Amino acid sequence: MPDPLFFNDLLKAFIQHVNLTLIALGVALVPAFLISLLISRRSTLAELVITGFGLLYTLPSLAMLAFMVIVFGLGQISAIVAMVLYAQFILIRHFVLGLQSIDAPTLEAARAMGFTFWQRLLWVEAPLALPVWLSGIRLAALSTVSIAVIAAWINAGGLGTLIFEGLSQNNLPKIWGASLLIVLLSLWLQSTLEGFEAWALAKAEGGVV
Amino acid sequence: MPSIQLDNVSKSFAGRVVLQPTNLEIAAGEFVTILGGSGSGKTTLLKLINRLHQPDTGVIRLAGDDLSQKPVTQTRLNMGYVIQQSGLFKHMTVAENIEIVPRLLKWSKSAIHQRVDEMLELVGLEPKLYRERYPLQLSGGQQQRVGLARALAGNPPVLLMDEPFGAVDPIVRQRLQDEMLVLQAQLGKTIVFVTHDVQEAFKLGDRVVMMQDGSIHQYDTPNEIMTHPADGFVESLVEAGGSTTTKNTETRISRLSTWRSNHPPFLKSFFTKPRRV
Amino acid sequence: MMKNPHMALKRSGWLLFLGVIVYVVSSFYILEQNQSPELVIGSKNFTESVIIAEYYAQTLENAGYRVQRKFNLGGTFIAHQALQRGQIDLYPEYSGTAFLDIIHQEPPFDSRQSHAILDQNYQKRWDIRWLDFSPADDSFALVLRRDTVNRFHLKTVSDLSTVASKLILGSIPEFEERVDGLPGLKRKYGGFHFKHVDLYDNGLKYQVLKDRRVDVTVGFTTDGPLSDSSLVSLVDDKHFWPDYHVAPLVRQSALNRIPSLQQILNGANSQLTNTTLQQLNAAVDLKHQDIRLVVRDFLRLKKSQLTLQKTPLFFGTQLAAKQESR
Repeated sequence: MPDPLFFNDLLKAFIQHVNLTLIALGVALVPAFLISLLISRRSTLAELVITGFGLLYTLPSLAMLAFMVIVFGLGQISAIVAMVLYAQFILIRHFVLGLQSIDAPTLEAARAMGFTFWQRLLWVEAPLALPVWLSGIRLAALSTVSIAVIAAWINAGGLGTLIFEGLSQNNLPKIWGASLLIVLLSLWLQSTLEGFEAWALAKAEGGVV
Repeated sequence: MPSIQLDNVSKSFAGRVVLQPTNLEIAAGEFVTILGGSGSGKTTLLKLINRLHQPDTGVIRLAGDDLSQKPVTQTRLNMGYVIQQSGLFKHMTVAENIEIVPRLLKWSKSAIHQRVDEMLELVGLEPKLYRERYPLQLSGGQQQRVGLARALAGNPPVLLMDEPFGAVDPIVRQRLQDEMLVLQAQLGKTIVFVTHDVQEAFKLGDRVVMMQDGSIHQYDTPNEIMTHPADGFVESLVEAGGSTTTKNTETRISRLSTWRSNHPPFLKSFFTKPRRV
Repeated sequence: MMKNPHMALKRSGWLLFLGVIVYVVSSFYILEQNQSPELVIGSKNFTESVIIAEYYAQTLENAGYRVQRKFNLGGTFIAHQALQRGQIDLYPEYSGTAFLDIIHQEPPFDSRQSHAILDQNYQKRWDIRWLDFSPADDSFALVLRRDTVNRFHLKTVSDLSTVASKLILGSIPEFEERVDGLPGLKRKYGGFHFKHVDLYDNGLKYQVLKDRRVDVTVGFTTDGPLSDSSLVSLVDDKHFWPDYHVAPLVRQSALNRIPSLQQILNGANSQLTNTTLQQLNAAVDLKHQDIRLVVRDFLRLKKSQLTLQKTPLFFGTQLAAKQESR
């Protein structure tokens, strides 16, 4: 039966995986948000940008990772850059969608009231767009966790390492353990973010009724 | 209260001229209604005043100052804006909606709280009942009242209204119109009110702007327009309003004087007491 | 979806809190274990390399040094680069591999000469030293099923070169590119135009051979599964493959930093014979035991054997009896 060293490995890989995901998401959020602010009111530009990132998204992850390796070498940097690029598509799309979903009278009233751009964003647009934004973040997080598994192939660490090791060494506990943790992590992300989304939706619709 | 002046102002969208070069002078404290059909340019004219649109030519002045030389936010904070769909922020309570401009103007917390109560009373909604309600829980008429309260909360010298009572049923509409008159009687703000309803325009306006296809056909008191219409267009509109147009004006004048004699001007204190603490 | 947003918020809040706690506690636990090492040991990405590297690592740890492991780096070239750049301090390498794939020279037959050439070369170019060779000679082997061998009457590699066109080769990473791999075989022996070549992971090659998905596969003379009698290795009659003695390659800077390093590693390396390696490989590949446990047990065994030699004969025989019965 698996000995303490095994659990040690599992835990270490788990932490690596979480770190990778957190960093990638953190880095991805800012440019995605800023880009969305720039393009949300210009529909042709928005379509162009979103389609562009959408094309990136269709690239198979291993191919993208390999390309990153050429530029940045093996390791975490390449993995994170790849994950950030993939996340852009999901994040930008949802950020823009959220902003565009605000109805015209509300927007007009907000403009006419005398808000500055950032005040309007903070007081009016963000609370109303938040549910869609959060769902985008949730989807991007799940997607990033997935890609991080593959990233183990380029020495980025994470739970994928154990899966590849398990496959190469025909070691079932490693495969099972790592897979289980990936599933648990994904479930946790889903449940947690979903709840915040539901709350944000209620707030946007007019208080928690 | 400032005067509003449009000097040779015009506006086009996508090559189409929506507003012909126009001159318009609205006196301080005047209640002016702008009457026209859809496509007449009336809404565009209104939106030029609070700079939701930028004029292609000409200058817009507020109390003699060129608006394009002032920061937009400042202009807008000092102009109340009421629209047909009320544009209430559904994620905020009624109180929070009304509080917005006072908060942006950095009033003290107690002043803001008091103001919300006053505004709700002003528009005929009991504060205790309505403060914590959300817009989606209100009827159309109630939403419009809150919209008005919100627009007046910061005590702006200018009030811009774009067909505010259009989506409301006729009975409520009448009441709201009457209350507008009452309000104006004490407040004496400079009000620009856009409508396509002839009766409404004549009932409410000190002067009426008659518009069609981006140009002003006549700008005068309701009486003058009715007795001396400038052209066929104006004539047809007056006729469309029917005898009720005349009746409305008379009603208006009598209603105002009756009200004035019954109510000493105490409500005015809402709007003259200094709010900054 | 949640019907009640308050409940949803509360639940999410708790989940978040829980997640953060788990993360923080685990991070601290892991961090505590990863203090700055005194030595970084690397390995290539196949089982035997990891076993040997783990063996060095535990030996050094038992001697009281803090070791960081960077195993499964990749192929020969990547490991060499990592050593060159100082990303690792040492890793186990094979003499034959170094000759053919790194310094690109023909290896001599005399192993003392081999060692001298390698050590001088590495020292001059990269300031890296070759410690003593192991007794083990882990060479390539072409492995077939017994029935294939019987059908074609195969005994040597030359025999195979001519009938290759009727057979499928299950190749392993690097074999099709390395000078001591398929290209070299073709040059030395001629022929070797297999029906087709499929690439497999080291962990799968024997399985696919037994499953008859391939007819020939590339093994190493110390592979665990070779103890299976249904598998046969062919004799390298033209001596195509040189010796593959394994030795620790160490950066001079590490040797300078830790004076006793050379002695400890040489001592450990001298215990590696073909039989030893085969046993260790078998324990990991066939019995699926964890590499660290296997090495740990091996070290314990070695230690007790050492003690055995030091105790008086009376106790010695009793202990010997105990070991036999294990």
